[in-house]
Amino acid sequence: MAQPVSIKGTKNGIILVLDKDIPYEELRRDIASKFAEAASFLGKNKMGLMVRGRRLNDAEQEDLLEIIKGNSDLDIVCILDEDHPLDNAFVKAVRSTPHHVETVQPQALRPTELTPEEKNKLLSEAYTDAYEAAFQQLGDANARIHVGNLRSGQEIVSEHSLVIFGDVNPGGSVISAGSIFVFGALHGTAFAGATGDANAFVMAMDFNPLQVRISDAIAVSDDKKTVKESGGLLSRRRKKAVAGGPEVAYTYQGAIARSAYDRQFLMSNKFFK
Amino acid sequence: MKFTDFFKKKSSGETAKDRLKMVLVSDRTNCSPEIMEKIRSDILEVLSKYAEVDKEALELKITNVETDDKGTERPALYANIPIRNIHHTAK
Amino acid sequence: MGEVIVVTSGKGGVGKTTTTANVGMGLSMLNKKVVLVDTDIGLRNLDVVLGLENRIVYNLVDIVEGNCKLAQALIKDKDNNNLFLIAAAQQRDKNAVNEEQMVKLTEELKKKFDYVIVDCPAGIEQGFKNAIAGASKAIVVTTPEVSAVRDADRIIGLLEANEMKEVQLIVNRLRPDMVKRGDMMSADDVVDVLAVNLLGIVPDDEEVVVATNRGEPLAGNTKTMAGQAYMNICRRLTGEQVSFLDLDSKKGFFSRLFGK
Repeated sequence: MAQPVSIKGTKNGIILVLDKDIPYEELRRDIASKFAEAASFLGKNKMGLMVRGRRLNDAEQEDLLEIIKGNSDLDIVCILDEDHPLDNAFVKAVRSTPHHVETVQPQALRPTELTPEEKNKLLSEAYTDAYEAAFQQLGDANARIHVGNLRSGQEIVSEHSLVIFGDVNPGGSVISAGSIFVFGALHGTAFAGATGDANAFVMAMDFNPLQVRISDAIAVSDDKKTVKESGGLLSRRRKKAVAGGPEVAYTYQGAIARSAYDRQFLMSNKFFK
Repeated sequence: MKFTDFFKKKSSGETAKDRLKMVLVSDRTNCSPEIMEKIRSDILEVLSKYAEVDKEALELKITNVETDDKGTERPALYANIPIRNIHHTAK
Repeated sequence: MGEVIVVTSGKGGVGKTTTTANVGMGLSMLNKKVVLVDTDIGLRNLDVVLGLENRIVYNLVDIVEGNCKLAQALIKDKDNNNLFLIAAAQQRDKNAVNEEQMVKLTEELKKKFDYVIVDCPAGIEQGFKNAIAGASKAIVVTTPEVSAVRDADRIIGLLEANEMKEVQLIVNRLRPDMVKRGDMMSADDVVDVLAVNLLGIVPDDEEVVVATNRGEPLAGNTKTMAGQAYMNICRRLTGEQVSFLDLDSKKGFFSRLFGK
C-alpha cells in the first residue's frame, strides 16, 4: 500500500489511512480527491470516521471535516483516532449492530458439498476479487495476535484481523471486524466481519465451532454431531486426529460455506503468485 | 445393618434430621448484623421519648431459652439498657 | 397473563438447572407456551442442558442493554415449538443486570407466554435477587442432605422476607433404597423440617445424566422414573391433582427383601 491516502468503508463508519511521513498539508489534496472519487459510492450517510496511521491535532481535524464536507455528501458524526480506547468503542458498535433476522434461524455448519469443478469455479471466479481484497486488507491491518487458550467466558474483540495461537474452547468467543485464524482448535464461537465485511473468513487448524458468524450470516454446529461428540475429550481428540486438516468458513450466496483450507483455496485466492 | 444395631444407635437418616433441626434453630434465630442494628436504633428511638438512655452501653442479643418443662427452646430477645434519667413528662 | 416461576436452591449442584429444563420441557408438552430464562450470568448452563448452546446469538444482557429486540434473543427449542430459551451472557457477571430490569423483562414475557421459568444461580447475592425479582412463585430444589436442606431453609427465609406469594419444594435425587435402610432422610422428613408445600419428589436416576449428555431433557419420557416424576410436577403446576409416585415400584419386592 504505497498510496499516501486510502479510504476503507465498514458498516458503521469509514477508516481513513494516512501516510505517517508526509506532512498533513501535502495530504490535503489527496484526501479531497479520494473523497470526491468515492462520493457517489459513500452516499449521503451519517458515519463515524476513524483516522489511522497518524494523529491529527484539533485544527487539522476540523480542516479534515471541512474537506470531507466539501467533497462528499457524508455527514461525519464523530472522529476516532488510533490511540482512542478503540476496543470499547468497537465492542459497543459490534454489540449494537442491529441484526436483520427477527428470530435466529441459523443453518447447520456442514461441509459444503460441491464438486471439485464447482468449488474451483466458486473460489476462482466470483470470489477471487473479493478474497484478494480481504487478503490485502489483512496485509495492512496490523492483525492482532493472541497467544494462549480462550476458555469459556473469555472473549477477544478486535477491529483488526485476529490470529489465535491456542484453542478456543466451547463458550469462548473471538470477534473481529476482519478475518480470524485459529492455530489450534476452534470449539467456541467465531464472529468475523463483525462490522459487515462479508468477505472476511474464519480458519482453524481444528475446525469444530459451536457457531460461526460472518457479517450477517450465522451457522451453527450440527446438532447430531454435538450429541455424538459429547462423549468426552478423549474420544473427541481421537476423532479429530482422523478427520484432521485445517478448514475455512466463508460466505457464499449469503450463507456460510465450509471447506478444507488447502492449496486449492489458497491458489484460487492468488495468495501464491 | 444388623437387627441388633437398632438398639444401639439411630439410623444416619434420623441423625441427619435431628442435626438439621438443631442447626436450623440457630440459623433462624441468628439475625443479621443489619437487622440487629435496626432493632437497636428502633428501641432507642422509642425509649428516648421517655428516658435518657446510655446509648453506648446498650446491650442487645438473641438467645435460646427453655419455655416449658419439656425443654423446648425458643429464641428470646435480651436487652440491657442503662437509664440515666427518666423524663417526667412524655414528649 | 402468564405466571413467573423462579427455580432456586441456595446450594449449588442440587439440580436447579436440570429441574428448570425438565419443568420447561414438561409444561410445553402439556401444550403450554413456555420461556426459560437463565440468570446465571457468567456461568450459564441451561443452554447446554437443553442442547441449544450453538444457537445463542443474543442473550439476557443484550436484551437488557437494548442491543437487540426481545424476539431476537428467544431461542426456540430443537423439537418443541412451545419452548423457548433466553440464555445468560457468559462474558459478563451478575451485576450486568439489576432487579428493575428483570421485573420489566418478566412483565414483557408474561404477556406472550403461559409460563416464564427463571433459573436462579447458586448463592444469595445479586444473581439471586435478579432471579426472584419478577417472580410470583418459587420452586425450591433440595436434595435430602443436611447441607442442601440447610441452604434451602435459608433461601425459603429470604423468599418469605421478599414476600414471595407461593413457595413449593422439590426433593431431588432421592434414593428410595437408602431411605428404606434409614440412611437417607425421606421427602417427609425434609418437608417436616422445612415446613413448606411439597411439589414433587424426583428419584436419583442415571437417565438424568444420560439426558444431560445428549442435551435432551427427559421430562415426559415415561420409561424413566425421573421423567415421570417431572411430568407429574408439571401437571401439579397446572393445577391438576396428581398423587406422588410410588418410587419403590421399580425395585421388586424380593430384591427389597433379600437385597442388600
